[in-house]
Amino acid sequence: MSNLQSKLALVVAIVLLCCEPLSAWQIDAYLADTIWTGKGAPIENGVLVVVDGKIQSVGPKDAVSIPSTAKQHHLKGRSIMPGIVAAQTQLAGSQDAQRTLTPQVMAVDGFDFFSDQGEYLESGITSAQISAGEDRLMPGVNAVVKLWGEDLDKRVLSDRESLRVKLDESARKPPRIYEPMVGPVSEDRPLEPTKPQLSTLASSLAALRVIFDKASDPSPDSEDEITNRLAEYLKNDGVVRISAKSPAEIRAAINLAKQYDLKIILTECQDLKPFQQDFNEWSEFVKGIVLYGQPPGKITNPSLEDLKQKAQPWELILGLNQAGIPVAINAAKSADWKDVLFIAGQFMKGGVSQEDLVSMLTCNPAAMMGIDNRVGLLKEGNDADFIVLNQEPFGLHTAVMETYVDGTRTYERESPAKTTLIRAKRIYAGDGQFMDDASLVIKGKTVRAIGSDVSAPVDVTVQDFGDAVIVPGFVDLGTGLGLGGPLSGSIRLDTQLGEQLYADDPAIKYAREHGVTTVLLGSMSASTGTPLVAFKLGDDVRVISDPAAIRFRVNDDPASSIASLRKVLTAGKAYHESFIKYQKDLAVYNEKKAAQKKLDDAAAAKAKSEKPKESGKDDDKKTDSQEKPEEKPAEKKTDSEKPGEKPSETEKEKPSEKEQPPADKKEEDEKSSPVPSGESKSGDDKKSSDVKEEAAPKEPKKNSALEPYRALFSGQIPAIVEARKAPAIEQALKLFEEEFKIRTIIAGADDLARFSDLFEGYNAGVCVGPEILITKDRAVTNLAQLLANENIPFGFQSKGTTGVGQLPAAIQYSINKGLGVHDGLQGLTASPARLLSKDMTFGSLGRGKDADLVVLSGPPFENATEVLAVMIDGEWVYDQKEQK
Amino acid sequence: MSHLSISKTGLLNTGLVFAIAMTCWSPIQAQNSLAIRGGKVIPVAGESIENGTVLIRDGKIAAVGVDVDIPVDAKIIDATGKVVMPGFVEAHSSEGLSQANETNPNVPYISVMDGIDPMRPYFDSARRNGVTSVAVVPGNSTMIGGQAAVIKTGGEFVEYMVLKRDAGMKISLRPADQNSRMGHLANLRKALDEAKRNSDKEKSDAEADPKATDKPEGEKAKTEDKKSSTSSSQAKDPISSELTKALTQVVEGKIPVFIYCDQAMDVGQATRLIDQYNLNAILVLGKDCHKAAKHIAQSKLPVILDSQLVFWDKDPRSDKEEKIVVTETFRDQGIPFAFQVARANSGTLGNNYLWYQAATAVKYGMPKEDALKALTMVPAEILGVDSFVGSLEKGKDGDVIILTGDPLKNGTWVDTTIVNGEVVYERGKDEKLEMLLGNSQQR
Repeated sequence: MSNLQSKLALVVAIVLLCCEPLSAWQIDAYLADTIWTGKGAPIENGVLVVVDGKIQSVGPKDAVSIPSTAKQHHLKGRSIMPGIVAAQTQLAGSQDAQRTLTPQVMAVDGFDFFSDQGEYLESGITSAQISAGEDRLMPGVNAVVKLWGEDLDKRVLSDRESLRVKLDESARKPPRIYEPMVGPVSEDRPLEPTKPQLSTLASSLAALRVIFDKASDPSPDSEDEITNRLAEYLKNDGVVRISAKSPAEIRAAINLAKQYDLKIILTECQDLKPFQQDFNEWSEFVKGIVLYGQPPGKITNPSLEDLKQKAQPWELILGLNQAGIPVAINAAKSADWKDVLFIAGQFMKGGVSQEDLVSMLTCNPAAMMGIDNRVGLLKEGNDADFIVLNQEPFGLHTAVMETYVDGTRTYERESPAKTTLIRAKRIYAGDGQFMDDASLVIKGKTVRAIGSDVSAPVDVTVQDFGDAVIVPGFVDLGTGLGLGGPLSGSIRLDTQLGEQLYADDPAIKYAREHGVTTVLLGSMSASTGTPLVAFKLGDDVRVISDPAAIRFRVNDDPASSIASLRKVLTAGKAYHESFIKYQKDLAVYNEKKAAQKKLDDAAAAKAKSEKPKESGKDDDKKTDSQEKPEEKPAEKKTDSEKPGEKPSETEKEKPSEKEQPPADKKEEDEKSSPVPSGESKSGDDKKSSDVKEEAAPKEPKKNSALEPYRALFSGQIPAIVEARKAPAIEQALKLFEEEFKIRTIIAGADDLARFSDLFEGYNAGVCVGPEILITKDRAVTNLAQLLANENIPFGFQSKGTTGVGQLPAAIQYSINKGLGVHDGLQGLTASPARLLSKDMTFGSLGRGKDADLVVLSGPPFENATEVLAVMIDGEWVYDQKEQK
Repeated sequence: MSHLSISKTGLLNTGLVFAIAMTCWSPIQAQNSLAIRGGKVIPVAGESIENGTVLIRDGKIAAVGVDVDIPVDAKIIDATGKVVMPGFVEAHSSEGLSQANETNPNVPYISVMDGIDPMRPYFDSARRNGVTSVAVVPGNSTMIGGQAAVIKTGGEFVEYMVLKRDAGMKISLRPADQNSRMGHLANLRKALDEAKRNSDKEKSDAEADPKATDKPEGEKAKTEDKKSSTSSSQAKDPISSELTKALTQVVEGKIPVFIYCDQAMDVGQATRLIDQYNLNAILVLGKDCHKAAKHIAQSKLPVILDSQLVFWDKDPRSDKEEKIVVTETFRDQGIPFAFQVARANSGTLGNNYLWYQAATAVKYGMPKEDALKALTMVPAEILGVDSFVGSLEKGKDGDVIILTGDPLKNGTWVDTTIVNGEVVYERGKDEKLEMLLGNSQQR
């Protein structure tokens, strides 16, 4: 039996397979986190299958079979709801007919199917009721149309949705009412004189009663267009849509409905409180109520009476809901439609749920207008009109991302949101602080805000990591990453390692999968100064500073290496000081020159003031005084070139020019253009120096091999000195910190395990690794823990390439052996950054810091904790889910 | 409604009209033959013929070709070095009327036949510009503006000029009388509903009286009118039946309607009306209607374009300006169209001329042959007069123009215009042109 069944199933499957290609329709499957169908609770992890502009099926991912030919659209982190059905708009135009009662007017005639409704589509509105008029007692028959589509007939959802009746005062003294002209050709020649217009609620009601009376019992030969149309309309169970604002108007509307057995839709009601008890009775003939809301933001000053009387529109929403009267939410002004989701969200204050609110924007208006078999509800067979939201429909930052009409995307939010908001259970800032249930706002490459409640633009992309923990990206102070293999030997200080990096180094990917985001790269074996470049492990490796530090090594037997290092450092210091001296001299020189200039200026001014007197007397003197101003511009020129902090370009060029001219002349005798300019320049200098009498200080010759020492001695970058044995450490500290006053980081520092007082009196930091647990004399010392307890700042180095990724595990082991979690985390993040420079923006999470972070599945350094995702400079570079 | 059906019904109607008209024409028609030879003949229907001859006998084309026997008594026009082609057909114009619109916007019972003034300068310039047939249609500032007629541009009395008397009813969707669009359409529906009721009543009356069906087609309407006025339960006076007759014929599909669409949105309403009332329609488009080209293509309705063919349109939201070439928009959708010219006092001069409109279309990519058809065959088909005019074929009317050079070229003049075999315009005798250009420019 079962065999037969399975065979049957196979046959069916084959038939299905054969059939599918035959259907030429394009099948689309939209997979979203939640799907709000318009009625009832949302579907988690739902699928919406659309075939030829119609919904084929909708339901949970597991329950709906997605056809194999379907194009799948994964809307991660997004939700889907039906396209919003605007319950009342003025899209048919606002010009009313010239008569008070015009039931023959049809709103659909006034709708421009070819006008661009993009603003509505952007706001998620896909269908709209259009009113026949605004300021007449009975302006005509309303319609419902779709706001997009090629086929105009299909776009008309209903051309006689309801008959509009306006009881509010706007219809009572209407403008531009027809005053018949008397004329021989006029077809409707007035036989009666013009009557005064209806101007009270009572007279409006009386007029309505007369024509409803007539219409409910029409005489077959009646030629009266108004009653004929009304009779015809009511005969087909037409709905009457009554605008009634005040309680009196609402009561009149209800009475009218009861008297003539009408099905009515009430709109624009402002005060329903007096009718609270009647809601159950109403549900028999009130097909729906359209409530108006508007976004706050404009501060008005209502009178005290208004404050007491005016009810909020959502006050009675719960009561209406319970009585089973469908409520639709509408924007009060056409300009407010763009905020319709927000307006509806306000109604949550009335105590209704999100799913009810979704209904009030979609299914309810569609149902009261009799078009819910086409739109407003995501169900099989309905039109595929839906919108994609960035989060839940009435969340804090909800925005419409996409709008679909008949399965066609008619709007897509431009430029994907640049700002990301990340939520997690706990966020470690890296400096020892942490926050629970916190959010991070990241814009571009930097963190813009951090905290449990943060501000963010509405179009922010929200990523909620639930129970995850976020820590700053890890820092490794010594690696061979980024060159495709380890560096060996000594590298000259002027090597620009940063220019040789290449992002495709597979080791980089491995390192960042384990959370390492920033590393120092350099030769790990060189003994004299070698540059270390700091860079980020993003998809495009980004150099932070080159060099970020200079690495030295003091051998276990320190005597010889200390001597050679002293030599090197002395040379470096001399170079550094020559520039310091030059800058000082230059400053003095500039000061003097400025003073001289002042004197000159004063003299010139004096000459000028004297000039008018002398001009008449002597021509020669005049020329003299003219010559002086000529000189001055030349001085100014040289002035403007010199005051820069950097030694001026001209002087740098000068020596080379002096050397070059002979060669130049030989080679480029004909061209000769660069030569005269050079000559003229030197001539200028001569002039100015003649005037000044004192030579400008000469800039020391630049030596690129020594250039990094200037940064080192000015304290911008530290020296990382590898020293393992106690004497080496001692000597290194003495030489670097005491003698040369250099910011020093001792790398390795194994013997600290034995002599923990080696650092006493020094400010140096330590770069621990690769061994963190030091075994000496059969005792195992946890160096990191020791440093933490001694309050010596420390970072870590792996000295690895592909092994960089193992660093966090090594620290986990160290934590297992006594290092505090916070200390371990700091040593991986904030401390190394601070050791390198105070200005480093990585290593911690905070306003203005780099968006380098690691998302962990649980508390850091726990055995079960995994790296879920890694972000570098605001870009996700690793996502565990994608890897699997 | 497709093209085909329009021309069919048009044929029926015009056949009748023509039979009557023929008797009127015969006295003033040239009995002798006219032969135009030596020129390059572009018959529009078929390949062009170098050194061809067009022979017109008794106002009708007797032969077109290279080897045509010219009767000895034939008057001969030597067109060597010139181009011979059918006269242009203007599909929609109110210029021949002394006044384009009635004050009352609902006047289905009037006909342009009573308002055409053949002495108007329009006809003079039409002949000068090679237009030999024109549909005179009430203007656009109306609702139901009255009936149009297709007439020839040569002649002094409308009765002798007419080619098709009830060429169509003019309906404009642009609100007249400061009405709103909805009100305008409500009024229009009211009128059409009434016409439909009348039509139904007449039908049921006709069924009740089987004798009426025996009568020949042409007489039917008349007897029906008499019948309804006498025997129907609600006797209508003959005046009111006369007033409603035209619109009744419209809803019965016997008379086509020229529906003027001011804006693109009107096209949608027009197609709804056409479906609802089963109208036999021709769309007369406003400038904005290019936006509805796709919809028009689906409806397969014949269209007459606005006089502005190329302009810049600003997108209201992005403020981006876009160059609109109406002819290309419609050609992309495969919609055949005819041209309109601007009113004489409009700002630019060029689009006052039918040939200039076609030349503009060619400039923006329309093949020349198609453009020439849009001046001749296409409007003739749209108006339902393609069995008489629109091409040089044996049996058609002798409406021929002789051009000094290639058509649609700047500097080409209409040398001679012939309507019904009679020369109605010769450039050499055009005093006004001579006054304008001076003798030096002539010949």
